Amino acid sequence: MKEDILLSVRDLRVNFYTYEGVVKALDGVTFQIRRGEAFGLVGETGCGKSVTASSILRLVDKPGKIVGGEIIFEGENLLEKSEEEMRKIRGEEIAIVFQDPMTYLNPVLTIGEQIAETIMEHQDLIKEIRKSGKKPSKKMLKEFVRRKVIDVLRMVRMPNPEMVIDQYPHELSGGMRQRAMIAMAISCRPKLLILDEATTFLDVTIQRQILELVKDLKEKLGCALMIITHDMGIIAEMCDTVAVMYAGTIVEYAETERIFDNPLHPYTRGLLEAIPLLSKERKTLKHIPGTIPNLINPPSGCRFHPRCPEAMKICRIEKPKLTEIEPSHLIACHLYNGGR
Amino acid sequence: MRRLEGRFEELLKEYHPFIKEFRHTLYLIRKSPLTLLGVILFTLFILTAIFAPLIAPYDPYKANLKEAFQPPSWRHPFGTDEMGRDIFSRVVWGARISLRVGITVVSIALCIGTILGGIAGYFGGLIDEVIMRVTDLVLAFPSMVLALALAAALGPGLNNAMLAISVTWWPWYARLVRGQVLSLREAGFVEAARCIGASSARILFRHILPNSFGPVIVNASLDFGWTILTAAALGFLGIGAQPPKPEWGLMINTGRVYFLEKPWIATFPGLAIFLVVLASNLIGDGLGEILNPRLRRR
Repeated sequence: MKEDILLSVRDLRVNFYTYEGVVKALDGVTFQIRRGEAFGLVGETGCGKSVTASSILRLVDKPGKIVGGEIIFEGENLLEKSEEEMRKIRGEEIAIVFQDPMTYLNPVLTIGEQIAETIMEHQDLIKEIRKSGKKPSKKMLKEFVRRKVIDVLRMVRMPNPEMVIDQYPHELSGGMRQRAMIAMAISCRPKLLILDEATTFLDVTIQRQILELVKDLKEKLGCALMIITHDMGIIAEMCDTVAVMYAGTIVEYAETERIFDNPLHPYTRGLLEAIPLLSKERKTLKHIPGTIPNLINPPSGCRFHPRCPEAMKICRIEKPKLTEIEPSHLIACHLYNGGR
Repeated sequence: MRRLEGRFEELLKEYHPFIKEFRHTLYLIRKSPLTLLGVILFTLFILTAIFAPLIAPYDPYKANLKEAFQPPSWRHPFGTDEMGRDIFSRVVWGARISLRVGITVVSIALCIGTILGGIAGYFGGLIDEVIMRVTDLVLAFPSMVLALALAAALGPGLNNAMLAISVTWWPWYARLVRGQVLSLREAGFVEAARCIGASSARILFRHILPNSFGPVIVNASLDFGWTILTAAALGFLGIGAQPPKPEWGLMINTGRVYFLEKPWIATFPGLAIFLVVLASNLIGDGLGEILNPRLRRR
């Protein structure tokens, strides 16, 4: 069972050193992703989902710094790797798809050139051509890469790949751009594909298509997925396990069904109650009172206690630990940790 | 022969996208009459420079004192100067000098400026600080004064004048490129490039700089005219090209003395400068729209 684990993040801490003070964006994030599993990370805006993703690639930007914890990928701690080694991992082992494909595609390069870049960066094509018994020439390399790019575009079911390969991002529709982004991400067959709000900007029908595509690709490539979203629907549809994040910490972590059937943490319950349901009669939508706390000066103890309907004395004093209360169901809440 | 034809068709097919793009560019140029005018003038200028020996009816250097100070006529369309040299021939040969000045100065300034500005903007911090303060230092002088001083210090001559102008010109590009890079550095596709494991050099030269080229090229085509004007000014002041070179600024300088009685000596080289600078400005303005990939297909 143990060797099945692809990525294991333990007690990850990231601080942002801003002018106003130190923002503790991630305060002990712990989760695991098994090989070929679809893992979901949900939470409100600003709770640290995207920072978690960029920490895994070790691309936390300047005022931010990873200050503690470990990220074990394939048995090796990514935080101990050199920049050079990390460059090899990015794109080849771990790839990411962002939410807004327009800004994440380079407007002056064709789709083909951008996908080719990833392939050329990570694969020794000249060796591959030699292996096939032919003498590598510049023209051959060009054709070889082109064929590979078209293959990748076919894999993401891009309509007209032979034409799209020579087109610029602005000539494509939103859905096609997102397909191109996914093509870039999977061109080296990564072991872990991170989708950072990858469908948020698309309309619902396209969103559906993209999700179907991602599901198929997961089957075909056997890669693990890490789906970052604030949409519980996507989680229910796609994920095997879920971690619920609140203000830089994981508050609940379990299999998807268990979270939906039996949410234990008050925050998770709040999230699920805030989903409008068509089947039930109309009533005012429930919401979680208050807003996300200021992370420069977060609430003492449990970060959720000011908004928690079941807050107790201890919640203000002590930070609850993430503990397993039933097999593979982890919760960070005093309600279940013998706080009673 | 048949095989050759096949090869040709293959080539045509391979370059089809480029031909398509080129056709589209021509279409865009045709749509704006001022740009078209600029392109026509500029093409004439370049053709004149290339075919100067064929176009010029006389040797631009050969003095003929018997024919000095001839007004424009069929024999000498632009008249002759104080040494009896044919001004039309000299203006035609002068196009070569101006073309050389424009290309050399703009490309030197563009290369230095782009690389330094790109590095300053991308890496930031101390490197940025050092490069930009040097840039400010150069920009603090009025460019004409600095070019004059440098050209005078290096000694008169066209090559020294070009060098002097290049030195005063690169900081504009460094600033322009740095500004572009600063905004592009935060762009999504840069982050995406980092996420696929691209190196800093690759991100800077393949992703950021090509995206910042639009305004740089527009600026370069505007500057093409300005550098020619500046070189002519240096020539006029006597520290650029030296006589008997048929340089336009120098010709205006010699014509200046006789301007009231024999205006043609200074007028025609002046007109040539005016037209080239105008053409370069018109193209620069038009290019801004044509080169923008987002506005291309509308």
